[in-house]
Amino acid sequence: MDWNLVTPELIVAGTGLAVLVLDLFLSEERRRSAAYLSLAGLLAALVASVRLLAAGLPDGSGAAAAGPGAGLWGGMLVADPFALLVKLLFLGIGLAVIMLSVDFVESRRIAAGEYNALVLFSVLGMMIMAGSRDLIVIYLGLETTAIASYVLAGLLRGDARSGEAALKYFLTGALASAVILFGMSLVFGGTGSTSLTALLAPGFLGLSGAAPVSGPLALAGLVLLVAGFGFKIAAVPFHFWAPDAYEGAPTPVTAFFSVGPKAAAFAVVLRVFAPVLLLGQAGGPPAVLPVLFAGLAVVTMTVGNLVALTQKNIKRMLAYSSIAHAGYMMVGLAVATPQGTAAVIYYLLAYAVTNLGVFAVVIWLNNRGTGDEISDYTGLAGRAPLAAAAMLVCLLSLIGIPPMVGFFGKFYLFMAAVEAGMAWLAVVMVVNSAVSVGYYYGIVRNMYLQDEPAGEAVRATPMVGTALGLTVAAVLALGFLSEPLSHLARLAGGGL
Amino acid sequence: MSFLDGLAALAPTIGFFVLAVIILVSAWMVSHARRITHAAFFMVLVFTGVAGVFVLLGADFLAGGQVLVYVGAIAVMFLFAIMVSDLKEISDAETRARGAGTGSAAAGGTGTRKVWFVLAGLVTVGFAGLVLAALARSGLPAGAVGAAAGPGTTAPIARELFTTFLVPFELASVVLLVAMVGAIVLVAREREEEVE
Repeated sequence: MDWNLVTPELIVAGTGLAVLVLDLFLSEERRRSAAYLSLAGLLAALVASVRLLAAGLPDGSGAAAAGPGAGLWGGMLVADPFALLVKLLFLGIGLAVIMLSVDFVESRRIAAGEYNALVLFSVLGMMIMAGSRDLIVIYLGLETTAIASYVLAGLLRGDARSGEAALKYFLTGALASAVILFGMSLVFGGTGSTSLTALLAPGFLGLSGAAPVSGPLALAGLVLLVAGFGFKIAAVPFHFWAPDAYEGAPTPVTAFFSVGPKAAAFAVVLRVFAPVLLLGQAGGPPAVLPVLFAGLAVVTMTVGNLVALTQKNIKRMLAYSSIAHAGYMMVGLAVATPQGTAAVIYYLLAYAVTNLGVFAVVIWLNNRGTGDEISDYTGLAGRAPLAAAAMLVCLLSLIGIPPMVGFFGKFYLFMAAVEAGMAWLAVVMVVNSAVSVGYYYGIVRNMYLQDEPAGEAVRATPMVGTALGLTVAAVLALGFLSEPLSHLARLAGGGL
Repeated sequence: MSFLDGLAALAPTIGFFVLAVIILVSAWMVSHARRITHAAFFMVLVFTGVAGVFVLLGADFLAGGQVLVYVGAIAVMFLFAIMVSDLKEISDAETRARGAGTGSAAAGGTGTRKVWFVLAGLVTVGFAGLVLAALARSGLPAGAVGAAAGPGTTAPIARELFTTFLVPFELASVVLLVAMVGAIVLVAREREEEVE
């Protein structure tokens, strides 16, 4: 047992507790210290994860090279390249969200200590979800993230929409948890083990010519898992809670929802389904899973994009946009190849940094009194040229224009679909991307092409400015670094 | 084999079906009782019935836990919540939520409710059939069902909990901590505002 492998989790958990305690001794004026301590903890965990990843990568030696099922405490926690890579993403998301929320939390009089602690615990839950091969641990990680998220959504107590967001998120989230648990119990009944490796045992799911030992039961469980995680990633038809929750939640929390829990749920879906899908590819059945994912992908991206076209509120529009992006990512699952898996991992990174960039601009303007309607962005290029430029870069990335990182994300998904002989799915994706130009361009037109009586210039606070600078730099840099990054994604996906 | 011996051998099966009927009827009553306190007490009956099923499976520790945690703690919590919120009838909440709805709207409401009701029933029956079919076609691995009917499961469960499942055990405390912090931040902050 190597405690070294769980240092990132231990640091985040310890920081969360420390923030809670520190908060007791802080005077009203010094509440920002809670955020600074959280940032320091997340940075330390980030460094620890990078070191683990670097130590495990080059020759495949060390803990990272351990075979399926190996890890700490018999696979309860694992630190393979996939887990470490997505943990880096989660820690990055945590850093960005805390930087974006410092001013917001202060101006809306949200309890700073608890806010930061809840974000930290939520990130901890995401890290645990991604870094386990055991259904029970995955569920507990999921629930840690979810409970923290419900509370974060409802933190604006004076705002009825915040309460509505929290309640809707909580009720649908609880339903999703129940569905996931039911699915897990069927898988457990079918395999007699809570370990994911049991799913891959020969004979399971009726593979490799052997008589189906427990196939149908576990398959039913897997389908329930797809439905439950469909809620969590807001895939159509399990998406109805997302727009209300996104609109009502405090804006930095919305930014967190749109990337954090969603990315974590995708990480679990990859962890559970990628090996099963690959086996399915080699051995024939279970053919139903790729079909299921393909159907979900088509419906999700189409509905997400079409409804996004009609939205007037930027947070609702971004909610539907994030639904559509979940649809794109499911293409990588439907193709059931290693390339598809790697493409999903790459897209997760690309989508997360880009969406955080968009939200950084929304929060910047929101802090300065600009509303959340798309019409409020009219003439932004005159009032805040930097914000408008940053928004432009991120929107181009969401559409998928080179050289932004979003282009490469879509490119790898497209190639994976074509290589797997599912060109029709690639075509659906391209058509959908074209539809998405409609609503992304609406913002650009408002910002640049509409004349508005020049208002006051709006400046960013240092924290929001830094976060925005970092995310936009990442959107551009990760685009240029797409080759090494996709190599890393392939490596991570290969170890699943 | 005499008739009585046969009956004794059948006893667990008979017991299971009796419990199943109690659980299903009570569960139905939970969602259809007019008075919310009745719903809460039927929920107690559901929990107790499930504890009985655990007893039939030889899972004595789980049965005890079920009674202590669900019947004891959670049901009492529900009753306290009902007492504090001063809601007597579920229809109170419904009429309050709907406000002054017109008669035609209410009629349309019951119509759509019937459609949803039928749909939900069909989905439930269909899914139950699917799971039953899957169960029938699956040879369950040994150990998954009917395990450890020996005397007392407490010691084996404790051993597993603090060895194999130590990580989940510790993680569960993190989940509880987050839930507690969350509950406090949502409720206590309100009081702060009232003072201002």
